[in-house]
Amino acid sequence: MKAISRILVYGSNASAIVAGIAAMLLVVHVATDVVLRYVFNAPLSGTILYVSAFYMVAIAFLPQGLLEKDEGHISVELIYDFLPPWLRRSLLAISFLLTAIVGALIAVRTGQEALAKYALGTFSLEGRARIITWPTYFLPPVGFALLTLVALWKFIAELVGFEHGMASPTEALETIEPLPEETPHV
Amino acid sequence: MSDLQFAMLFVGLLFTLILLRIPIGISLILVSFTGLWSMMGWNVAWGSLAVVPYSFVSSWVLSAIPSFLFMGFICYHTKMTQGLFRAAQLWLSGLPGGLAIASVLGCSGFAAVTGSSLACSAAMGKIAIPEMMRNRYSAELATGTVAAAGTIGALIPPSILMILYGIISRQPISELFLGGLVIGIMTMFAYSLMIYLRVKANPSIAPLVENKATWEERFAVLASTWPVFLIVIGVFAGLFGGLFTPTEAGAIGAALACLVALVRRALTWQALRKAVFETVTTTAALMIICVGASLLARFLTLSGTGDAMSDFILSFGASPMVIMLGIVLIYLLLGTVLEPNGAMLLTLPIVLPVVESTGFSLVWFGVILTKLLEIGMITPPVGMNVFVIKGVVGNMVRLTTIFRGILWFVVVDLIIVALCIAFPDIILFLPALMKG
Repeated sequence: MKAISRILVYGSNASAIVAGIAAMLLVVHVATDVVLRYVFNAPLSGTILYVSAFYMVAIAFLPQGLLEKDEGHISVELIYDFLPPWLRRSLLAISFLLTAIVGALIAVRTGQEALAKYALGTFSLEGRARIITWPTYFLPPVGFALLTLVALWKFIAELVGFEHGMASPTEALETIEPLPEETPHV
Repeated sequence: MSDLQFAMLFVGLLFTLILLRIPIGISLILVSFTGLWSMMGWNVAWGSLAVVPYSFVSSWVLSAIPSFLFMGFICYHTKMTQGLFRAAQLWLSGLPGGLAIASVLGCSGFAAVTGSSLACSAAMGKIAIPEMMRNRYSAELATGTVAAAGTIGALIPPSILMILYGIISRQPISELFLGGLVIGIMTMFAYSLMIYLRVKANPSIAPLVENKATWEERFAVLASTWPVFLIVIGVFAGLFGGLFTPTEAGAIGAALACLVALVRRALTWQALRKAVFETVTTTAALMIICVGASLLARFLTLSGTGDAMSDFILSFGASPMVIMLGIVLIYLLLGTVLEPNGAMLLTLPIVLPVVESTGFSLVWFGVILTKLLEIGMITPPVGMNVFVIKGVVGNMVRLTTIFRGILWFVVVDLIIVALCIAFPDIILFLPALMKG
């Protein structure tokens, strides 16, 4: 159990670290391009392509597993907080299951797409340079596969009733202390 | 079933899933996919999943989001903006409610380097609230001010909400930013004036603080705010002067912020790591909702259900102004329970065609929409800025006290919205000037 949990945590973290590197590269690459263009009149070729196809795709999809692990996806807690614990647990399980289904659908479909681009050897022409872009098509399936595995793991944990070893909103809720009486300020 | 009934069914399903705490992005993708499948067949639905995620995200314009986020988080984690409140405090603390006004100004200054109101409230809350409490300001005024002034963070450019809106509605982001600048500065002055008048009427909520700062001290503290001004001028002169695209402005801003932090010896490994981590997780959390919203728009367009819905709304024959008031009301209500980015992405595929048919400017609408959603950041039951302030003050102040504190600010906000709807040129004159 612990081993599976640890692999998922490492996988999600590693994937998010790659996204972090992409974010830093984005800033450095674009800033360098601007400086070269205005100061030396010699812009870098292909900046737009690198930013949109490489950095953006990595930043958007690679952290998906980490987001699922840390409950980072945006959701609405309005009604949820007022529900009895058993209903909250069931809703949580349904939420993990639906996330896993959606993640799996996208992972499989974008995976097929990536294999097709790989077979074609998709590239972009930037001036006279040929920039291979097919590897970037593998980023969405990687991100969504991690999302699916983490959600599935949490679903199974919720169903069978063991600790999934990752952040859980139910635990967090139970640790919030009731509001104390207002203390007059001095 | 008619197209309209189908549309209602799927929209109803969507909101049910979201209220059951299914993540917004997952709900959007699930409902749009099922909708496409049931109305257009498996091939269309399955094909959309192949195209939409990659093609939506691999966008140059969209990359303005991580670059501006990075700039804001670097400024936040290297505490670059602490000097702003200190400066405003030395100049204004002698006024009635001076410390509260100083925190409004501090938030507005920080707003120019961050696109998020949460960061703005959190940063200013940690500095300004203890200072106000020490000077026996009422807890309501102290906390309410910072929670509300934080919303200026998403109004004064950069603004993540406006970038997202610009991409989805295909409006120029620099024009939206200029409109945001106007409404942001309006908000800043209106909040300050309201605080001044309230304290004049009831001095007990903010006892007068003696301002002992000498003129030398006042000018010296201004000099300490140079990093923020350097970054802001570098970024926005380039953006509004037409030298930079939004992404370039954000990247230059982030690079400048790192350089300034390096010079100030504030760029620790930990600050950089946190800034990078928050940049990618915030972007990725937004992107999955964007992919879902993009799929929803595809479903509404391809199936004709979107047209059916806007036709239905327009079929009442209401005047554009009545429709706009309806939209304003809906967003105020949505804002009370939904987080702004989610609320916007969720509804734009349905609302944009309606707004377009009423003949209002889409740049103007984007600015109003941002303001409305930001009001939602401070209204109960779900007011994210208020929660952030609650996190800052801990057990010292109750949540209900902070919510009471924002009341007057919401009144001011509603007056601003009403003015901007009655006189759209308030917002549009600056963008129009830039277009020439």
